[in-house]
Amino acid sequence: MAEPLKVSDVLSFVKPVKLDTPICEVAKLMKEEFTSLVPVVDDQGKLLGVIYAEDLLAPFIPEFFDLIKDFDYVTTFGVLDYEVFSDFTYKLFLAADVIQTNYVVLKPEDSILKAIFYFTKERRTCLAVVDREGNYKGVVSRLSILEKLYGSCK
Amino acid sequence: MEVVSSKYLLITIFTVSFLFIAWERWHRTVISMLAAIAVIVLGYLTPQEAWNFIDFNTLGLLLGMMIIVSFFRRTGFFEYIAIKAIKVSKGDYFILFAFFFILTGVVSAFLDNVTTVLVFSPIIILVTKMTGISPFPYLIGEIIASNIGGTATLIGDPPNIIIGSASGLSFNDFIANLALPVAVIMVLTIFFLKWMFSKEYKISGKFDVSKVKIDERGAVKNKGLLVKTLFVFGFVIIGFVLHDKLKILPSIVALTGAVVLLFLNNENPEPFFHEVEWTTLFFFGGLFILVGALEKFHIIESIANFLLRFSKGELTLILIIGFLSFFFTTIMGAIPFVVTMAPIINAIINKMPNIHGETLWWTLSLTSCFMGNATLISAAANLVVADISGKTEKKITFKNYLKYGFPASVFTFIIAMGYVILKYYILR
Repeated sequence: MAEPLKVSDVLSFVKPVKLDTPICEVAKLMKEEFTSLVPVVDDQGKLLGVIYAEDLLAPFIPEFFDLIKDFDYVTTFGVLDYEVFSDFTYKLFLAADVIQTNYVVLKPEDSILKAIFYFTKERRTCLAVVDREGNYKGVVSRLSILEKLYGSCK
Repeated sequence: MEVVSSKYLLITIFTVSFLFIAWERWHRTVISMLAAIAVIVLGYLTPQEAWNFIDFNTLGLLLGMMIIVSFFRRTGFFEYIAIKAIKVSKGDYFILFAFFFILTGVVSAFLDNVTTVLVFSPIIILVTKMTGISPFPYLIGEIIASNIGGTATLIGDPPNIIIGSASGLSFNDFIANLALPVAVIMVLTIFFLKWMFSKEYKISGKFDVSKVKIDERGAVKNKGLLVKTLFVFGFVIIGFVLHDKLKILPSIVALTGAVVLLFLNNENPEPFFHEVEWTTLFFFGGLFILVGALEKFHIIESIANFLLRFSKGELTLILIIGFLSFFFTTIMGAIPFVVTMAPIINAIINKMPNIHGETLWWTLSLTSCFMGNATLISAAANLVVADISGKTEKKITFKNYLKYGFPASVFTFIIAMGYVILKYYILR
């Protein structure tokens, strides 16, 4: 019987950022590394939090959108479209302003079954991986697991 | 326990409960239930007596209408008519304001105020933001419109439901006596608010409608359910109009409509029951028991005698009821005040057979409903809108609401008192 797959078998390294990194650099990193998660670490490499792609989009969404179930009746938002995008000076925002501190992490020795469970439960495409001391080790993505599981398909 | 000391303890329980309700440190339903349990445990009422004092007509009417409203909410019907506002306004801010004001008032006349504002507030915020203006005056307008509009019918406002049940006045009596003055007062209030807001906020001028691409047809989620709901609701309104002639309680009309809709829907009714405001129903239940204890120990009668001592006739009674409404509704809300006043007015009418009882009821209805606009805590719908406004750049606070709500409530109160005195005293 083949050894069960672990998180360490599908780990990839995404360059982490610091708290004072501007979010436009975070967005650039996501694009370059083709990832929807960027880890935020301290000077010692300890994971402080993560930034998901949604966190970079959330500042554009007006708070009152929470009150509305859907926008089936809206095509464009009039003045709101101009206001939201022109007023948003992304250069003012840092990683510290959008960081998520409530998140799931995995360990390299964890089974990928655990990763799959959390992908589904947390509705995420990437999860951060840390060692027992909380030091950042890498990122595991759904795509990397899919590649591992379905890679032999022709 | 001697009766005298018992009565003082009962009065203390009543007074302290109402003070705690006004204070809002604890939820008002919990206070009301605590007071009700206290009067039973202390032996003022037996459980059977307490049960008998609960006005199930009021509770049934509220319950039935809450279930019907939960059907409407699933259809997108409210969003449809609210979104129509932009097209109806034809790019005029004042017409937009007036449309939302009248729409809120009309819907509030038939469905409960809290649901009305819960549905319309997000759309009002969206529409005003889409046109580039602050939603603040429009939300204040919505609060005021919901309390004024709800006064027009038996079912529009909880105080009217209580009054209808206590007085025996019918749905048609409310329409015949209150619909027209309420409609007139609504129009006058629109212009009053326009004047009040004009210095700081934009509710006049034009906006470019073409920039806002919105299609109200997308708001309707379930056409089949909408047709069923409108159909049944139509029959419910007919039932209210005829309830007096058919000798059917309004609660039975509302509950029949609710049950028919649940039957036609043919799904698990649990989600609809989840949307019933059980805290409101238990709040009422507790108050009925507490006030019932006052009735049993003739405290209500004593209050009625006390008020009659000051009255030189119908006119002074109108003024007394009006000013009691003004004061007590402002500080604790209309419901606790009206639940207490209803048996007092019945006692007054019993003691003064020559008096026109209806006059006192219309005075109570108009003044208690309108004074629901005085402060943020004077009516439940006010707090709901204030909470929602927290998601905009300018939250409605107690202080900034008072600046507009209190003058508007005084404005409508004066007109209402003038109407009652003119129609039911001078011109009778």
